Amino acid sequence: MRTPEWLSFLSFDSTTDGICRAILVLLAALFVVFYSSLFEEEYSKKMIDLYRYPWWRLLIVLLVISSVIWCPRVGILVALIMFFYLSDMNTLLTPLPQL
Amino acid sequence: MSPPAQKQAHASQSQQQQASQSPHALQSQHASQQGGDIVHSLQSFFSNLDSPLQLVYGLLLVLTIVYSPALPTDLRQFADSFLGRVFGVALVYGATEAMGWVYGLLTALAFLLILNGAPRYGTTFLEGFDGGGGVTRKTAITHDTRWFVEQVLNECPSKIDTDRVTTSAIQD
Repeated sequence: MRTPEWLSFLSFDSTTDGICRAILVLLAALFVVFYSSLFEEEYSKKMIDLYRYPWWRLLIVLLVISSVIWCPRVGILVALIMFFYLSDMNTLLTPLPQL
Repeated sequence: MSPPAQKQAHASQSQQQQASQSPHALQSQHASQQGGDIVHSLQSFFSNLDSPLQLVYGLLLVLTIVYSPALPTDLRQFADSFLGRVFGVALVYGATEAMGWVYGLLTALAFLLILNGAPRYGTTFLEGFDGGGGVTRKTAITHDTRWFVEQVLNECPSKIDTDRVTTSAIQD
């Protein structure tokens, strides 16, 4: 049976690599829907403390780049998670009069 | 001699030659082969790298994302203006077209983080506020003129001014 053309970019291989990609896409999508996109959801204390250090933010960007190089679908979702994390922390740490 | 027998004889001869070589020679041959592999992988790594301009642009993007909280407010306000938004979208589109979608994604991430930190309000704004009683309207006064103490302590307090108050007589 031939896979429709519009679904080809959503299909994963049946290899270990393909299964890992599919699992990570699923986990990242669930994380975005139930955690990242909700501003009221509190980040863990370690994530809040680590945000102040530039090397931690650099590691986050490197994680985005490496995941994008490995798999575009995983990379886009990881980038979305990182954007929500960075923007939320930036908003929460900005003094109220400057918002 | 048949071809399979010839192959067998040739294999046994090569095995004898390998066994006759000293272990030291085998180790050096193995090391030189590993070195060749490393050089070959390094060559392929450098040949597959992006151009220096793209790498510099990517480094600037990474630094912009990492140090986005430290960017000046003027830059954020410009990014939040009409011209800044048009420029940002055009930059994302141009980076995607010219350098690939990975650079486009990083550009979009950096632009959105700059835009996210822009002040939401101008110098004066009105809240959609109706107290239902005396206060009907509030005006926020920002720090156009700051007191000396505020300048020394680097404070930017926002004040709220009520410019219209309605009262009514007490009725028994």
